[in-house]
Parts: sequence; structure tokens; C-alpha cells
Amino acid sequence: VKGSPYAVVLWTLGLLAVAELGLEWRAAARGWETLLFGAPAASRLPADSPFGRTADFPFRSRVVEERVPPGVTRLWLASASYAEHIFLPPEQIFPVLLEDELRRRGHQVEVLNASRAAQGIPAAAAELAELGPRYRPDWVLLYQLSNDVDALTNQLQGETAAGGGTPGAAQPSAAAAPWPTELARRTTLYEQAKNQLSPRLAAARMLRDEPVEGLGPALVRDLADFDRTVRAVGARTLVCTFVTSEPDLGRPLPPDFERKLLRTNAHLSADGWRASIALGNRALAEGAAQLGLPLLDLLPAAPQGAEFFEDLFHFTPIGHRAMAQVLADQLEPWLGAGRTGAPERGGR
Amino acid sequence: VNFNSAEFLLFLPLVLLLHGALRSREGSRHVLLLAASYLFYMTWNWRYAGLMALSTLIDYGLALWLERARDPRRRRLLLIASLGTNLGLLAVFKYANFFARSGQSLFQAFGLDWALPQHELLLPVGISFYTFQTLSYTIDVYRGQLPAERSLLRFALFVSFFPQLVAGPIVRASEFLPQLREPRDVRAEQVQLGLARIFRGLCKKVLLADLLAASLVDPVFADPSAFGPLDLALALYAYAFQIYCDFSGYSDIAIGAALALGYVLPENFDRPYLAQNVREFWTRWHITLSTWLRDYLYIPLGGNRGTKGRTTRNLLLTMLLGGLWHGAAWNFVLWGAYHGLLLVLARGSERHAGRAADSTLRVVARRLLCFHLVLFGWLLFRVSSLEHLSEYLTAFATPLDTVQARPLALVLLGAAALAHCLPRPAVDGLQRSFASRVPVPVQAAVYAALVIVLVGATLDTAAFIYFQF
Repeated sequence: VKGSPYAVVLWTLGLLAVAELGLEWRAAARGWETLLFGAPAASRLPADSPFGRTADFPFRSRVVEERVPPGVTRLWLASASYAEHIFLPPEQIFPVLLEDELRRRGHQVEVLNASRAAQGIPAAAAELAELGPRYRPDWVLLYQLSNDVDALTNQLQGETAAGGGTPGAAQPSAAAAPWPTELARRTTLYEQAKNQLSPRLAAARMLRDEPVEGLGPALVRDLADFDRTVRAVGARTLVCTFVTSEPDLGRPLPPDFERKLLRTNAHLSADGWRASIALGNRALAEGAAQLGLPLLDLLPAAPQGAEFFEDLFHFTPIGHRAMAQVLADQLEPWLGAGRTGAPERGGR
Repeated sequence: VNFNSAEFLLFLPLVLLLHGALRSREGSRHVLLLAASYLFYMTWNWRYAGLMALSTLIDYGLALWLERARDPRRRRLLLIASLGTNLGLLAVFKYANFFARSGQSLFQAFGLDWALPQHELLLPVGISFYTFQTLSYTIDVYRGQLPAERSLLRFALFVSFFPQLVAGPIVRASEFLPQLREPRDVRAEQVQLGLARIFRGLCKKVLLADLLAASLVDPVFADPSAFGPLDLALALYAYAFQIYCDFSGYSDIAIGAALALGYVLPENFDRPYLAQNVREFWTRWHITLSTWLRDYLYIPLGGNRGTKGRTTRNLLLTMLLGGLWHGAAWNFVLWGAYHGLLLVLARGSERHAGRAADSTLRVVARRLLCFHLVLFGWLLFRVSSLEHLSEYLTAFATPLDTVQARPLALVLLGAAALAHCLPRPAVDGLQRSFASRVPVPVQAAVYAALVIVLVGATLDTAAFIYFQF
């Protein structure tokens, strides 16, 4: 490096590499997944663990055979980071606790936790279309909204901007990002830079206090598409309303919550986001009614209070336990119907 | 490959290091730079690289033929062939649909339902820039001002040189080809200075232009009727500085990347909003385009040598075509016509030029007036249609007393205005002393920190505005 005309380039690249390594080491020590050190300890499973994910079993729940045992009702949970929660051991997350609770109440159930961080309804449908025919669920439980609200708001707001005429403004590209961008996005430097700066810079934006126009119909469309996929694999959809820790408009959010919120959403204020979630829940309820789908309204019975939530929608271990109870209570009548053959897919 | 992307962060150091490894092998360096330039272009659309290669081959061959030809008629025919090919490609890819749509609207106005053929071809990125470069080359050879380039490799590199390929500066063959004929000894100082210039451009683009767009310009222009006059005015001011920071930021990165490879590109901006009249504005804004239009359009049309009426015609025609060069839409034509008109009025006025004896107050007043005249032009430039323009202007008259702009957005607007107004010699001097006096590891630490800040601030979809031209 010394004496080379390109020393400054090499030094810069070297320092970036050292910074990435240092941040990855720190992140891995704190239990985060990183590019170089891989998955966090909580999601690394011992060889004899009864839980997935494994190379052969793509769900973060108790490992089961592909073939459904006779008399067993199989539940597929389509959700996101709130149900995947890779920083907790599998036995502490609500999908597994739900299976335990339902079994304790005498139901022969298997829960397949197909939840993935940052996943929205369309991605959940794609995964179901791919894996559903192999695992043949009876019921598909849809519990997600925040990623869809973020993605649809960004999309609809972008469309509005384009429609309003922005010859110089960049348009979102539908094409997949090139591999260097994808690789860069997996670095801890990228994560940290985005975490620390994006929410602070979002303060410069004119954030909306109301949901973006078209959000409700877009959610209903996504739900209808999702239900078509569910029916195609021979199952039935159970729609859940989405639970947040701070549903009340006008109440200030803890600064940490707000920062996390602004990281993934560039258009909505705290009130705008909460109003969008409320609207999303109404849209899901209306969509379920239109499509003739059962609705599990978790909101009234959901746990509330700081001990149940890490942030706006991720549960603490106590919150996971409470959520499993609420879900089990609401699910039970439908499982009963399943055992008596009322649903279309009885007789297995 | 966008300059503000991870791909460029990988691409540029790789090209720099390989270029350095081929020291004192100029031919191999040119092959490397040509391959890198085509790769750079093909990451956008590999098929259209063929179009650039075709344009290169035609102009290379025609220029050699032109130089040998002695018969004036044949020489003129060869020039027409070059102009026809280059402008033909531009007409097909950039303007055909615009004229077809406009023709159709005209027919409809007369009650005729005639459909004109339209294509679905993409507009090749950078076509307006490289076409103007090859055109100027053939015209210079025709005028005998430049010898035809014998080396196809050098000529192809002149056309496709990646730092300025997509959005300028528009480089003349007389400026660039001589640099390719000499061996380039890249020194550490050049690389350091080049890198400093690249980061200067990236900061303008990512920290000012994109954030101004996201925080003020885009939301207001998306729905003008939802905002009061103050927000509308702020968004327009913000757009003036957004487009300056975006485009001059791109030019900085292009100039810096070329410098790190040992080449010098012309400057493209010089604090344009401090101009005292519109004529001066065009000597400070997109300098390489305005000098191109002057040398290859305005002067050949007769310039200001004829009657007052002819001068007016030449000015209006040059600026109309300049507007159309920016985009195939009526708002760009209107923008060009507006600037043409301003230039005509400036010529007619005795007070269009600054005088040494003018008081500071008078200078400031002239600058403010000129800036606001240019600002109205940016409104024409930014709107998507004439209806959109009318919506924006109507909203100005609507009494909404709320201000939705956030304090941080105003800070950004102030920072962009300050960045624009800083004297270039002072900024260049600061940049030079940073690149030459500060120890290399400290410079690198600053750049590494800037990379992290820029990554955090980068919006995932923010392309450079001038890519579309």
C-alpha cells in the first residue's frame, strides 16, 4: 500500500472491511445474524432438537413428518418476525406455545410456523404455494399487517408521486437488485447505517398522519389472492386482526419505538402508522366477511402493556405466552368444528 | 451502474487498481477502459451498447473519409450522412413517440381520428450526451479544426468513457483525444484529488439533492392542491437546489473518477444562481451543453451577426432545441422557449450585464431577479404536463395558511443554498489541501465514514435526474 498511487483507495476499502468485521463480531456476540458469523445462537439448534428450521424442515416450529397423521389437524401460521422471533429459543415463541396449549386442551394439532421476517401477505402466499402441497395444512392462519402497511404505503405513495408528475424523480424498480447491492444489504455496516440514519433523516419528510389512499382495497386484494392460494392447497384461511402495543392515536411513542417505525416506513408519522394499522384491521375484517372467511379478532383480548411488547409489535417472552393463550381461545371453536367434520377438509 | 450504488463502489476501485497495474502500457489501459465503459453501460441494457458501437463505427469511418475527401459536395454529403445517422437515432429513440402523440392530438383537435405509429423502445441512457459528442467530432473534422482520429480504440473510448458517458459533461474530441494520445502517469495526488471530488459529488447528490426531493419537492409536486403557497414556494426553491446538487454532483463524480484515472474533464457548473442575468446564467449552468449549442447551433445559424430579427430567431431556435434536448415533452419545449425569450429580452436591455461600478445592492437585486426568473423556468421543467403546471399555479392562489415543511427540510435547503454559493476556488483549495496535506490513512478514515453516512442516507431508488436526458 505504501507508495502506491492508490493507497487512499486501498486504505478506504481496508478500513471499511475492518469496520464491518468489528460490527459483525459485536452483533454476533449480541445474538444477531450476520453475514460472516451466520445465524444467532438462539436460532442455532442442537442436533437432537425437536424444532426446526433444519435442512429438511423449513418451519420454525416442532419438526413433523410431511404426511399428516390420522386425526391430526394441521395449522399453518403465515406471519412475520413477530412469530419467527429468531432471538428467542423456539420453545418460547407463540406458535410453539400455541401448539403446546392446544394439545394441553386435548386437541391433536400440529403447528407449522411459516413466519419469516419482513414477509408480507404476497410473499407468504408464494411460500404456501410452494410448500403447501407437500405439508397439506387444514387451516392457514394469517397474522400479519405491519410489513404490508409499510410496503403498500411506500408503493401507493410512490404511485401518487409519479402520477402527480415527477419527471426527475426516480421510480421504484420492480427488478431484483444486482448482487453487489444484495451483498451490501446483508452487511452489518449497512444495517447499522440504515438503523442510525434513516429514521433521523425521515424527520425531514412531511409524514402523513392519515393512511394513504387505496390502502384498504389493496389489502383486500392481497387477502383475496392469499385465500385463492390457500384454497388451491386444499386448506381454509383464518384471518387474524393485528395487535400493536400502542394503538391509541395521539399518544406519543417511546423514542426507540418511533425510530424503529421510521426505519421501514418513509411516509407515515406515528399516528399515520397507527391509523393505517387500524384501517388495515378493518380492511382485513371486511375482506374476510366478503370472502366468507372466519375472523379471529385478537384486538379486544390481546395483551396490553410494556411487559408484553419489546416494541410496537414484537412480543417479549411473557407476551408470547399471552398471545398463545388468546389465540388458543379463539381457535378452539374452529378446531372443534374440524374434528366434527364441519370444515370442508374433514376425514383425515 | 449508478454512481450512488454498491456496484460503483466495487466497480471504480477495481478499474482504478487494474488501470494502475497496467502502468506504461497505454494500449492495454485503453482496452481496459473501453471494456469497463461498455460493461458499465451494459449493466443498464446490454442491447443498447450495440447502438453506441454503431454510432461510434459510423462516425469513425465517416470522419476518416471526410478528411481524405477534397470535393466540397462529397464532404458535405459525408457530413450530412453523419448528422443524419446520429440525429436519426436520436429522433427514433427519443422523439418519434412524442411527435406521433402530438400529431395525433392535433388531428383529434380537428376531429380526425388518425392513429400514428408509436414504438415501445426504451430511451437509451446517455444517448443525448454521446450523440452530441460524436456530432461535434464530425463537425470539427469537417471544418478542418481537428484531424480525424486514426485509432478506432481511442475514438471508441472517447465516445464511451464511463465517467461521463451517461450524463456528461459533454466532452469535445479536441479536449479528450489529445489526452488519450499521451501516456498518462497517474500520481497519488491525482487519485487523492479525484477521490475527494467524487465524495464531494456524492455528498451533494445523496445528502442534499435526494433528501430535498424526498422531504419537500416530491410530496408537494405530487399533490400541489394539498399545500399552501409557502410550501409550494419552498418546494420550488428546493427543486432549484435539488437539480443543481443532483446534476453538479454527477459532474463532480465524473470529473473526479476521470481525474483518478489521469484524465481531465471540463467543468460543468460555476455557481449558476449567482448570475446577474440569464445570459450569464448559461455561462455557469451545464457549461458544456451551452457552449456546444453556441458553437454548433447558434453560431452556424448566424449568431448575432445579422439583423436584430435574425438574432432573435437564432436565440429562440437554439433555446427551443436546447429545451427539446432535455426531454421529449411540451414542458421542456416551453422551458426552452422561456429561456430563449429571456435571452432575447436580456439582449434588448442595456442593463443585462454587470458593471464593475455597480453597487452591491444593485448586484444583489440583479442576482435575485435572475434567480427568480430561472426559478420560474424550473417550474416549467419540473411539472409533468401543462395541466400539472396549471394545478401548481392555481394552488399558489389558494389561501392555506399551514406550513407542512419540516424544520430539518429547511435546514437541508439552507445547506444546499450554502453549498451552491461557496466560491469554487475556496472549495477547490480546501479539497486540494485535504488531498495533499492530510495523511492518507486519515483521508481514508474520512472516506470510510462518509461511505457509511451515505449508505445510511441513500434512498433505494434515487437515480440521477439527468440520466433521463
